Amino acid sequence: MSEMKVGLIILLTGIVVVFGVLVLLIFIIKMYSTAVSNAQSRIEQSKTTKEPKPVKVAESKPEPIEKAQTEQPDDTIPGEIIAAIAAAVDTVFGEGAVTVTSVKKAKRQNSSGRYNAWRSAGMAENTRAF
Amino acid sequence: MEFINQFLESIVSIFSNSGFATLPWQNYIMILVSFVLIYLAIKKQFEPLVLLPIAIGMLLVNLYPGIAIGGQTHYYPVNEYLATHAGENVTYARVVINGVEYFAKPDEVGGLLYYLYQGVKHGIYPPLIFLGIGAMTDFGPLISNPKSFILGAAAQIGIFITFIGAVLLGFNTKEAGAIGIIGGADGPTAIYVTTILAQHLLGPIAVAAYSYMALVPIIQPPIMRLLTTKEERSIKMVQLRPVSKLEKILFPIIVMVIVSLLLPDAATLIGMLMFGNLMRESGVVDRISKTAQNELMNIITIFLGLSVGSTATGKVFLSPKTLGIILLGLFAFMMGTAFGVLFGKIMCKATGGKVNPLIGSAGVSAVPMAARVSQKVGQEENPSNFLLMHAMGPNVAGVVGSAVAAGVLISILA
Repeated sequence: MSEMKVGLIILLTGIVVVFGVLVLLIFIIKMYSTAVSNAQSRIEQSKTTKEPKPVKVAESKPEPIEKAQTEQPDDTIPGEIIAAIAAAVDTVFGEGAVTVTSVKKAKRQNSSGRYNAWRSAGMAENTRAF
Repeated sequence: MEFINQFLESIVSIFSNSGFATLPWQNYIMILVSFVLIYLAIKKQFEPLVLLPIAIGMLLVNLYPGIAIGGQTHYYPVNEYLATHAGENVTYARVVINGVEYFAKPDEVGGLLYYLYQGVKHGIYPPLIFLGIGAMTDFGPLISNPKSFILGAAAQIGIFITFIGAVLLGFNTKEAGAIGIIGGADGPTAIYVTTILAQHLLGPIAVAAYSYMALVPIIQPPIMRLLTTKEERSIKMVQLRPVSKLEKILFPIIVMVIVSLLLPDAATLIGMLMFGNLMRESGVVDRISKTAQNELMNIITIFLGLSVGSTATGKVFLSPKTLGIILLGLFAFMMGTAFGVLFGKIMCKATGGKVNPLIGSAGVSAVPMAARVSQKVGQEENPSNFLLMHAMGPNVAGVVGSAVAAGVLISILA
């Protein structure tokens, strides 16, 4: 076969094969790109459906003053102490600015009726005078 | 008196062994050529990373040809050798020539560039360069717009047309294949194909390939302007879609499998290119990905440049064939650019004016220079036009296309 004939065969083969392979790659890339984007959108959709519905948190409404006012006073606190607390509050916030509606005894932290040593130490540290 | 005679003899002996007394005139011309390449690399910055090592390899081999010559092996008849070297522990390889057994004794060590050249001769360096290119390349624009592959394929037509031209000019088919691949504008591919098809033409082909790659900003714009109208050059293209990480990871694996199955001769180049890209996109081997992009790439570039330069000896380079190779290489490059732009025009018409034909010229794989040229020529018409990312698609498609074209040539001609 003459060199020229071989040349023409190579010209034709080369162009056909190069275009064939690259066009095949175009289709494959398009196919897998579509598949990947479909799969990803499906995953995202399932994520959104699986996500727990936001639980409605009941807004904490301030208790009506009437209710607080009707609350039973803590009988174990002497009236003088309540008067002293109310006077202290009035002094801090200004006369008549706030109204003390109830005073409750704080619960003790342990069965012995005393705060544990570390808590007492922490309180002492934080409430110590300058 | 005897002392002076011996002194003079030594001086004469040194001079008679020097390059001044032994080098043929062709070597001096090649030394001048290497100076021109050094000038172009340093002053004009024409692909200096490759051109400088090539120029130095060329200079060294023409100053001292022994630097690229392998060690000499001498053959001694076994019986005679053992008789004259009694008691010696002989470990040389034995060969039988015409029924007589000989020891093959390597008497001299070869030159440095001879050993470095083994990486070219055995096709090791170009695939390793492709590994680095893969690790540096973002195939995102191509995945985003896979039709760019058509432009990458169109730009390879120049290779095959030049092949016919080379045959018409009297080159044999193997030489013509090696010359045609210059049109792919891909240095490592050109070297890889030439090593397999026509090793004796490696010097001129490598120099031509890298020179034209450096001259892309000069060669391409006139052809692009000639084949397009002002309106076509002003077309703005819509923004490319973002590509997911999964798509980028799948791309190298799919291309490697498909191309290697269809064209096993392209498997080495494409395999390394895609492996490099997978390292980059997977994000789990950052250390070796960076090594492939930097240290390995730089080391191989030095070895490749010096080795290729060392093949450009005066006797090989200064022949009419070299002139033919340089002219055909330029023709191949121009054809690649022209067919890329012409297919860009076809795509422009087919899409109702959504594709700017200028991105077609980037189908020749000189990455990223060819894409930059598309951007520059486009902005000359419309300063608010940004074609760079659109041109990167055909540009990286050109790398794949030239490797496929190389596979075709090797599978038919080797």
